[in-house]
Parts: sequence; C-alpha cells; structure tokens
Amino acid sequence: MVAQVIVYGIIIGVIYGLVATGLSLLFGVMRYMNIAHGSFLIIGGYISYWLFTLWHMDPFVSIPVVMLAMFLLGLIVYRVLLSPLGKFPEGQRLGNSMLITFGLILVLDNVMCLLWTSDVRAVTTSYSKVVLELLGVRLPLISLAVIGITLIVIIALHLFLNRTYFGKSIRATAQNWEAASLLGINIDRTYLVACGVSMALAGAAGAAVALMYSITPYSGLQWLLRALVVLVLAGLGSIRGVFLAGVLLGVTEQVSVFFIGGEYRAVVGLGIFVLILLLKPQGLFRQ
Amino acid sequence: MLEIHRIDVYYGDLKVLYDVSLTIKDGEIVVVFGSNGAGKSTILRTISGLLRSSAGSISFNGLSLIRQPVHKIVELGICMVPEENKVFPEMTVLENLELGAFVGKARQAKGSTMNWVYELFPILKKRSKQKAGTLSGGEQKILLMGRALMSQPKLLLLDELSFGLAPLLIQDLFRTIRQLHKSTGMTTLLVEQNVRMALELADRGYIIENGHIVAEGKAQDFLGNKRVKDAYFGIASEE
Repeated sequence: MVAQVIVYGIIIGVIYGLVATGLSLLFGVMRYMNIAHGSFLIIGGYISYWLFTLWHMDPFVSIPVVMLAMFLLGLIVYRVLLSPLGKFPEGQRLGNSMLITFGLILVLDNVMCLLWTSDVRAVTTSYSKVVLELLGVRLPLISLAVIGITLIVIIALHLFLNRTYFGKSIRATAQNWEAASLLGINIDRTYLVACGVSMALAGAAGAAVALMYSITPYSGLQWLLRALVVLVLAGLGSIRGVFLAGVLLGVTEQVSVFFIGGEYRAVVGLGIFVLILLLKPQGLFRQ
Repeated sequence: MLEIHRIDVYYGDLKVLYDVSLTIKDGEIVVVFGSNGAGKSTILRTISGLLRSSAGSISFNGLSLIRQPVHKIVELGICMVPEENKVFPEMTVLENLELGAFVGKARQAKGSTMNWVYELFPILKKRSKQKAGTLSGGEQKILLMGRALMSQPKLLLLDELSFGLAPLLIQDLFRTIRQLHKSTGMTTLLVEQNVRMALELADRGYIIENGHIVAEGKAQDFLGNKRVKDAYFGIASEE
C-alpha cells in the first residue's frame, strides 16, 4: 500500500519537477519571476486538448507541437512584456516582472475562459484506462509514458545547457550577465531563447496534466504554487536539483495525504515552504 | 584606432566624466591614472558600451561606437578585462576560455588561440578541468586575462589589472603584457593604480582627476616628473 502511494507521489512529482524546471530556468537566467507560469502550463494543456479533439492528434505525438507553439509564445511574451524591463535598474526588475506576470494571469485566465469555457477538460484516449501491475503496485500506462518523456525532456535540456556552445552562453549569462556581454554574448537574444524554452517546458507539463489529470482556465495557480515550493526546496541551482526536489515534493505530499487526508494536500506543500525558509533558506541541495 | 571626443558620462544623476577626450593609435599602450573615484574605470566601461555617454563621440577605426550594443563592440574587436571578479564560477576554466572565443572569427580559431593562451599562462592549462570559482584570486585574474585574449581583440582594455594581487604576480602579469605587445603589437588601454609599473610599460599616459583629463603626455616624461611621482607613485607601494 505504501509502495503504491510512493509511486503516485513520483508520478505527480515528475510533473512538479518539470513545471519548476521551466520556472527556475527563467529565474536563474534573467532573475525574472514568472507568476503566470501556471497559466502558461494550462494554455499548453488546452493546445494539446484542441489538437486531440479537433485533429485527433495523439497527445504524445502532439507534445513536440505543443512545445513548439509555447516556445513561440514565449518569444512573443519576452519581446512584448519582459524585455522592456531591462530599462529598469537591476534591483527593480524582479518586482516589476512579478507585477507584469501577475497582471498577465488575469488576462490569460479570462481569455482561456472565453475560448474554452470554465468546464473541466481532459484528454482521454483509448488507452487512458490501461493499468499495468508490478508486484501489486498499479502503474497507469500513460503515467509511465509521461515519466519517460519528461526524463527525455529534462536530459535534453541538461545536454543543451551543458554541452552546446549556445547553452553554455546561457549558463554564462545566468552566472554573470555583464561578463557574458563583455565576451560578445548577445544578452537580449539569450534571454529571448531562455524565455521560449521556459514556456516550452510549461507547455510539455500542461500536455501531461491534461492527459493525466484535468485542466480548467483557473487551475494554473495551483501548479505555480507547487513550483514555487519546489524552487525554495531545491534552492536555485542545478536543473537536476530542481527536478529531484519536484519528485520529493510529490512523494511527501502523497504520503502525508495518505496519513492525514486529502483536504490537507495544499497545506503540506506550504508547510514545507515555510519550514525550509525558516530552517534552510538556501535550499536542500545547496551547500 | 580609438578616438574619444569630448564625452560626458553620468551614473544616474551624478556626472562622472566631463568633456573627456582621448586617443589611442594602432599598436600603442596607453595608461589612464588618477586617484580613486576619478572616473578611470568609467572611461573603459563607456568604451565597452556598459555605460553610455550623453555627449561627444567615440569612434573605433572610423566606426562610431555610440549606441552600439555591448556585444557588437566586442565583435568589432574591443575586449575588456573587468576589474571585479567576473569569471563564471560554476564553469570549468576550459569552458570559461571557450566562451571567450564567442564572437565571429575567434570562434573558428578557438583551438589554436587556446594553445597560445595556455603557452602564455601555463597555470590555466594545469587548472583547465577545475571550476573557475575554486581558483585563487590571482588565478581568476589570469583566467580573465586569458579569456579576453581568446576573443583575439584588436584593442584590449585592462581595468585595474593589479588590484588586490600580490606584488610578484603583478610583475608577472605586466611582463606578460609586455611580451604580448612585443609579439603581437596588441593595442592596449589600461587603467591602473600601480602607476609606476604602468608607466614603465606604456607609451603614453593620461591623468584624470574628478572626471576631467588634467594632463596628457609621454610615459617617459611622467616618469621623470616630480609632481607626478609625489602625487601618484605612493599608491602603488601601499598596495
């Protein structure tokens, strides 16, 4: 029974990790906090939903399409809303980015409500109900597939940032943008791409959420809250750290729900949030 | 090569450079010195595009640098070694050097430039797999220097190269710059507190006080000038 609970925890934790990785990429590189990250996740979910209901595109096949669409949306968001923040002195950018993206939530959520109504939507395929069993533990097929795809995405991101020249220039910009610009790295373009990649990750997570759970125009905030808890848990740092912290939060949440009841689900995460800030504000995985 | 004509520069509302003019000819080593806060580093930061002048002009080989983004100025061949520690601490020495060759032609020549940099600074080769953040202060400075050279600059800007370094290391670095200048003829503009050593290296110098250029001349003449000696040579021995 406990093994089952842990497996469910890992399944949802993988999604938390994916959402938080996108958020932390943007924050790490630009020092901007995108409060609307959860809403972008939901948009990704709706794109997947549309591709499925309108064009009968398999939700796993459509993940690259969703990611590409969200990447392009990310470029637009950066150009129109975030790049003007560069004019502010450094100390004011973070706060202003939060204000702008908070306003963006109100716009996005209501536009989504107009487009897709406030009904609960989900992508339900012919194989959605297939469950494998291993040593008495139930493993839903789509969850296994989502975990596999998420791992591929995270590893691809890791390789992009650590092995490619452009990826390295993104990391350099994150560590010291001024020094990076003095080497001829175009900071503006780096930020643009980072914003696109961050949104693409939100889109992938959204597609997974629509497939495994469900989406409404207003459910972005709950995913954002989890991602923020994960960021605090991990401390801002490596992609691997953030992703593992996501899995850790998923498992902790699921196990405590098992013992104290589902109505306290959100309390657990926020409790961890407060505890970490009090006891280890630099995060679990940071020396 | 570089011509700065009557620029004014502000930090917010504070005016830090007044009507500053400065020229560097191809192959020259020029030093700017003056007391702390006089605006020395501001000149370098303005040339590299991190700060903007509100009046006047800056041109490099005939091209105006005013309103060019920082990365474009690097592409034109101006590379600055910043004063504060600006290595990428989470990356290896090798990765830091690789990123130095980010622009245009330098990227294709990365391998051979790196061998040359390793020859100039053997310590970097020894430390190549190490995270840059774990290097000592002096080694980080050497890395900054090597990283700047990776971009194959036509004009090298050195901001307080000697600041916070041990005297022996400073001598080593200055020797390397001289050697570099002899072998490549690289044009160099340096801002220094270690005035005597800088003047011994340089062809010409400028003195800046309170944001004004107050004197300009041959390095030799400054070295023999008693007033210059009394006013500026003390700083170096305190270091």
